[in-house]
Amino acid sequence: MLAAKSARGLVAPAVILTAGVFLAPFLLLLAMSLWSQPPGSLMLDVTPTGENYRRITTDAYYMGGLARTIWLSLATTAICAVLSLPLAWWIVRRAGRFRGLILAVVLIPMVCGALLPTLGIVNLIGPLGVLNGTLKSLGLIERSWKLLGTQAGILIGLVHAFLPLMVLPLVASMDRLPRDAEGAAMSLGARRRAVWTRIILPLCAPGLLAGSALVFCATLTAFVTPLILGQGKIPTFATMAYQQASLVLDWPFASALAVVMLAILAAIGALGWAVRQALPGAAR
Amino acid sequence: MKLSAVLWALLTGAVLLFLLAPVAVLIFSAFDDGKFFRFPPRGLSLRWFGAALESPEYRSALINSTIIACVSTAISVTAGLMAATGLSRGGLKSRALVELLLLAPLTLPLVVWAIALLQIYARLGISGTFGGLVLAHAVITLPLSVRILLATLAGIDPQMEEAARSLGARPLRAFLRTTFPLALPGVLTAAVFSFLVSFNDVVVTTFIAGARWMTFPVRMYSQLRGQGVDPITLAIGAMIVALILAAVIAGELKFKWSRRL
Amino acid sequence: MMSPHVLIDGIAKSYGGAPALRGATIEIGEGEFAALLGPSGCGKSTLLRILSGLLEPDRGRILLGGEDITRLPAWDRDIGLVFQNYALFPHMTVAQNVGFGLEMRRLSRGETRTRVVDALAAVGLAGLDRRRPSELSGGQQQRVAIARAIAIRPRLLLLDEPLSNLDAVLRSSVRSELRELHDRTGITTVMVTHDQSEALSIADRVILMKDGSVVQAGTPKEIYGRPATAFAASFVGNPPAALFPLPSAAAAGAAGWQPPPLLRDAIRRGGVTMALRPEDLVLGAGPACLPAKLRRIEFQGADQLALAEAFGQPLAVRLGRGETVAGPQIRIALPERPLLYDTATGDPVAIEQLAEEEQP
Ligand SMILES: Nc1ncnc2c1ncn2[C@@H]1O[C@H](COP(=O)(O)OP(=O)(O)O)[C@@H](O)[C@H]1O
Ligand SMILES: [Mg+2]
Repeated sequence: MLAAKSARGLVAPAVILTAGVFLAPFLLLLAMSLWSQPPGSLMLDVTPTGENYRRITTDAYYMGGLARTIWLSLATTAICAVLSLPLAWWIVRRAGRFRGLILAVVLIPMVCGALLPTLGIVNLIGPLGVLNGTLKSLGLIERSWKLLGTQAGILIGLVHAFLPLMVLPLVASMDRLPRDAEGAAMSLGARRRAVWTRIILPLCAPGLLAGSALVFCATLTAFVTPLILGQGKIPTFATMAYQQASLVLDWPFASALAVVMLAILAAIGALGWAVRQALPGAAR
Repeated sequence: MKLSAVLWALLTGAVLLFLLAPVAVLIFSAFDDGKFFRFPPRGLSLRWFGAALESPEYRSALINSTIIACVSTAISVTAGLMAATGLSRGGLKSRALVELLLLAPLTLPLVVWAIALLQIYARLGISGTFGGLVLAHAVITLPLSVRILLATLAGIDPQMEEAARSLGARPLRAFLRTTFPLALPGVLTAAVFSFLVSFNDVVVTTFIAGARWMTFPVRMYSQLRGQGVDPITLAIGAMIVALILAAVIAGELKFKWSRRL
Repeated sequence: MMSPHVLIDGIAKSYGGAPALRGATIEIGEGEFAALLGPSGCGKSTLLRILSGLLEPDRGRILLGGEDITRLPAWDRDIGLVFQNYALFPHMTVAQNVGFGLEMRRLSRGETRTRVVDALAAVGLAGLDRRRPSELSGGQQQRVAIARAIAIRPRLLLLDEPLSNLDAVLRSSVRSELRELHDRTGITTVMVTHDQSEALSIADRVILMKDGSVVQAGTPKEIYGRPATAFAASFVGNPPAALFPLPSAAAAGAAGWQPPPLLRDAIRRGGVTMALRPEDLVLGAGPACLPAKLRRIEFQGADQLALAEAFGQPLAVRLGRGETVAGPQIRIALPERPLLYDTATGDPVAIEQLAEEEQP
């Protein structure tokens, strides 16, 4: 055990760094979203105004983008959940000594960053890419299947990028399942489907919930994958914010877009927390 | 084997293939001889690798990325190890709150933060500077280090250090002789992941990088948005991905990385 | 006792408001083997950590050889500590573990080597110095921990529950080895245990604790023969003494019990509890014997234990190996001078005092 004084000293640099450099800007963002930038000027007008928010909520472009983004996030989360459950289960119960290797594969999208796998996906699903090339040479299709620049293409990229965020919490929660739970259920007469619906899914619910929240939030704010795989044709909320901040240079408006994203995430967080409380075994 | 088991294995195999495919395609397409990748390729060659190694802009971007990643990793791991030690061995009353704060960057959206940071950096005049980049990278990698090292220290008996002290070792020495060597795999894991996150980051860096300190991912990103895929980018990307893949497989097999995250 | 080797003087410690030690005062003589005995959670480990310097007390002093070491840091104390879970360094060999304290003291390599070999020989582990802790059995790991602590030639050796992580067979052999080691080295030793038979069999002096305070300190014979409180009586012994609150005179009469005069005085006083050790009780007959109902007989190898109930209270009687009982109604002969305590406070009730109280 350390004395409280030295413990505080040890923690201090990290706390200062995180609170000062990470947390403080979020507060400033709220203020900056109320500023304005007269058209054609780079000077900021710091008198508080709700104009930026009015523009977001009344312009169909932004509201449409928001709806599209939420739909993409929901779809990504659902697909990730469906793909992750069998994979996680297989990793925990069947992979045996290949477990490490398979987990390394699962980690790939996380450790390669947002960009490099996206580059591979471009060559995978592009008009001259591996997928279309294979299908064509097999004679299954005549003209290329258009994925790049469509929502389907973006969805492929998002699912790939954020699948680990779902698999890892699921693996962790399945690891905690008592090994004999299924056997016990079966000995009591439960069939395979009942074992899943009555034992495995309820016990994995916290992992599934955590994974879903992570995937949803990550998707909602992703802009690299949608921008590249959508080829700029499919604006999402995050790509709009990116363009305002980085290309249009209307920072107050970009701030307002960012605050809206933050608000949605806060709502998701609160919802997730409420669901978590309602789940059986919430006390743990 | 029963049919259901076969289907199950096929399904998981397909998911694994999906996870692996983009990276595999990336590596494969770097060997395409043509200026624009097409499948099946018309010819294979190593010429783009050669060109990549000779391109000065790419070389400087790679060097920048490496320097920034090394410095911010050093900061992240040092501050992270200190914080994890204080939290896991200190018996602080505010432990839960401090942990929540330190891990917040893992859950809060980085784009949102970057949009704010961009404006603050512009005002302070540190946008595009080495210091500004390192500071931002240290902050986004710190929570990873803290999380990995907290898990590492939780698995090391704190009484070991006390035993060393009762045998005559001063506190720092006791730490360096007992806990630290045992935490080394965790420290290494934290360093590798911090490095990778910093080296690969485009989400935050694209907002604050400048002409003087251009990182490799930011250069690649603007290239992709502008001119589309270029074979030299593919070659460098393939090399980096191959390196990362080898490191992660080795790390997972030796240090169980997925469990430390 | 002359000036004690170790003086623990009014040590108090609380964890965030919850007191773990409430002013414990203990003396330990030079070369003594002392046992700190008490139920788990009574503050034994806390006291040991304060002795070793790993924890600072809120109040009180620690004197070692007449010197006040209360503020001396752990690394300057020369006190050997053996942790309950051993806390061996898994990345070092056995020899490096044992040599660690000597390295900290900057002993020459040759001197270190000899002392390591001696310490390992002392615990019967000669020849294992190249192994890693993970390559040793639990019992061997514990010996390494002990060797590591004695290699620094400590002024005091502290052992925290040294037998609790061993299996039953090892436990009794390690128990006598610990005592032999102490007798050979002469190191003043304090052992913590929650197992009364361990404390009684191994220690010169037993210090019985409860809720952060010392209840009684004395030789094992004193602790067993003259328990200072009802708690002490009910904690020591195998099985420990049954606490038996005396029934009212009316209840005794109704059950056909005519208590001996002494107990009659006690019954008249009221609020008196007898502590009855099974080995002090025998079966008897006649109205002076306690009427009881036999519940069950436990075979224990060397003898038997008759579990009975009298006036709704459980108690046990130790029987000879061949003895048979005709139940279920039995009579139990009580010892001539039973241990009597005040039911409310747990303090002893003196028999003479009872007679006096009777006079007026
Ligand atoms: N680090 C700690 N923080 C808070 N309470 C503690 C701590 N260590 C011990 N305690 C409490 O102090 C009391 C005494 O503990 P301890 O000395 O370990 O008892 P023993 O060794 O006799 O079982 C217990 O109630 C325990 O819960
Ligand atoms: Mg204890």
